[in-house]
Amino acid sequence: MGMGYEYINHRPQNKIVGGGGVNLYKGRYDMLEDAKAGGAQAGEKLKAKTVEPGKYDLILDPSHLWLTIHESVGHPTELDRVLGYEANFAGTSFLTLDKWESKKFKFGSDIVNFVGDKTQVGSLGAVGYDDEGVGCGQWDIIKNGVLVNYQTIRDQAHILGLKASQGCCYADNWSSVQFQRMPNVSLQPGKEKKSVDDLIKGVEKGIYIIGDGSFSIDQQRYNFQFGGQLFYEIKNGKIVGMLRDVAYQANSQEFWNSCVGIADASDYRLGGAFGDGKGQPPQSNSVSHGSSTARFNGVNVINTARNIG
Amino acid sequence: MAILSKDDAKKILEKVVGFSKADGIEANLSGTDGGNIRYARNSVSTAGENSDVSLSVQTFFGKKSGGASINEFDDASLEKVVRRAEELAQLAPENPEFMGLLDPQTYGAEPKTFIDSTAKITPDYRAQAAANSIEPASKKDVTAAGFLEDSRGFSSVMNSKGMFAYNQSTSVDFTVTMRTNDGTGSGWVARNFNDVSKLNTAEASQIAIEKALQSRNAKAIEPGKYTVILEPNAASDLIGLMFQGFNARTADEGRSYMSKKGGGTKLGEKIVDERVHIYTDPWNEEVPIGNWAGGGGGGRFGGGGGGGQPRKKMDLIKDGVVSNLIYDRYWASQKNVESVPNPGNRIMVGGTASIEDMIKDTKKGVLVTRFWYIRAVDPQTLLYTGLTRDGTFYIENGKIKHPVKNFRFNESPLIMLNNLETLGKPMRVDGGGFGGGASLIPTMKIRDFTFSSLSDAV
Repeated sequence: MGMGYEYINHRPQNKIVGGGGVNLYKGRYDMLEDAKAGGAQAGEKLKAKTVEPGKYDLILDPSHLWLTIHESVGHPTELDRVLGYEANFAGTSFLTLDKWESKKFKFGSDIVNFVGDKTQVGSLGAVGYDDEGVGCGQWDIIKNGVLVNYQTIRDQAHILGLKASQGCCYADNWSSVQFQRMPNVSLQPGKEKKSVDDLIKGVEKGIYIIGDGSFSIDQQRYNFQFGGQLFYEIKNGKIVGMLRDVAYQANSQEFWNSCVGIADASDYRLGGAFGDGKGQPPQSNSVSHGSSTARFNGVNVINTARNIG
Repeated sequence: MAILSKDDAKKILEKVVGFSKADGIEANLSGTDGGNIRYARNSVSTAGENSDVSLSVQTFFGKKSGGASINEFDDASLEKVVRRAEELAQLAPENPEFMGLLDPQTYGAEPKTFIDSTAKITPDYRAQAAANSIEPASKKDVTAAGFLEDSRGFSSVMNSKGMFAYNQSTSVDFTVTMRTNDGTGSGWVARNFNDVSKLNTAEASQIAIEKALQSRNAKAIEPGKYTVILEPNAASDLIGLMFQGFNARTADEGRSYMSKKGGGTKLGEKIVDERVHIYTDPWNEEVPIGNWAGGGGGGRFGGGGGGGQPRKKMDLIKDGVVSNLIYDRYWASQKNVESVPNPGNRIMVGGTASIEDMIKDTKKGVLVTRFWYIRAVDPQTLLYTGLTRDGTFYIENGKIKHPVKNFRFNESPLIMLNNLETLGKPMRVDGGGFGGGASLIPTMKIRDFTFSSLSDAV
């Protein structure tokens, strides 16, 4: 029978090369190639320079950005959290209804557009119908930076003046009660032709981050801290080497308003999780978040190195 | 059917083992009757019960193993699940870290893990418990969101070498978050017992209501290093994270904070303040746990029966020194030491001071009710990040002066336990580290705890 990995076939056309020459995959994955590269990258990371804390412009790869989207956009736009149903566990949300009602709450910069989509091909959250039998589709959540919608189930649709639920009701098990769960929530690619290299070129002092790492955010989704896997220092528009001990902290609204560039659709990729937790008793949900590589200006980076003797 | 007696469980397991044509078989039979009630916005949102029994079978041919599970118990179903496990075992690659089945074991006295009153909790009880929490909140212009969950269950294991172990247990867990209706204050409380007669949701809810009212309009103070008083749930969240490093293999292989520079482990070395004494004891009356451990006896591929290993009273840290590490049976065989299964509870020896006493004794500091969203930043230094939540207060000259905005912390429990000032009264808390079960953890005062930024969250 073998060990299993032998049966994973990659497609050469799915491979793309990111900044710093890092292999990235769109669609099928070349596990053996990535494992070899991972070994070399780990060796390079051991010798990398520890980061100087301070403000940096961040270039975030979709393999990293999906998790930041999940925590800072996906969760605060869950309407049950906004209403208080998750107050004892997952928490509430800073995106209160008055902000939505104002129709001018600036969640992000003008180029920031998020859609909810439960039908996206290749995503972990794709279903035709939810657990209330509602047909699923795609809708705007953040449009041109403004909060325009949430995620709903049938009980909640009327609160937003919707004629139908967006099909976000799901239970993970025969013994679980279905409730509002996150659909795929994705950042739309930039409309102008722009590559990752184009994004890096414009950065004077920055860090290019690939892969997800440590993640933590408060119960109303204001303050977050994210790590990553690979951190490349950018100086005067060029990658100059690897860094280590990097994490960034920001406020969700400030962070998304600092988004000044998004690569075009040719760079768009999905990341995701099988075990998004919510509810009491806890339930898990599978969900994806797509994006192209994006640039965020002036984000606070901390150094995570410690000495325990 | 969810709670089978020792005799009934044994009969089913004997049949399962009897159907085996493999070199060896191990079968785990367990069941739970669980009930819960959840409320938010001062009214019940969901409530229910579920009951399930599950049989999990692992069969072995040489070093190949396969597993299957089922929740039907007629003879044809029992034979079917054994055949399926055997079929999968024949298809599997050999496990180079396979360990043989356990011989019959000797266990100590049965811990008092099953309490009749908890097993008899009804939907009416749960509804009243929720009402006792919601009513006082609504009278104070506060909104309650809470959850009460109870369970009674059994677990048993048998193998083809004649090893058999059985345990019954009950538990009840209650948490409630109280938020002021103006959205500026939030309080929280948690209770965990295996004996429901110790639970009073009205008393517990009152604490959370007071915290919510007192935490309104919190002031921002500069992040930095502060003396903190961590209530037991907050302390437990961080202390529990230390135990992941107690796995001997990850320490030997240089993959944890318990690895020594240049090779070897920190077993026998002082890693925290000498007043730290943490041990496990299945027979502790406050946090009793089954006297045998579940699976995981094999090496990194999990093969080889491990369920049924006896637990014993054992120090984990004594006088600040690492006393024992956890060895699965494979790694123990490689290191020529006795296998040590995961403990099911953790008991940290505390003092006699109450939280109020500890506040009185603090010149400047921060009282932390609980932490939230704690995630590893660096496993080698055990650095974690997370946030305070639901009741964070500034202490000055022995008194709570005012509520403060929540902080993000970046701190290592190892550094924290080296900065220990005082240990207070221990309290039973849910979880708190490896092996499941509950923990007894004291309130603790820590100096130089690192808060790295502020959060606007209430």
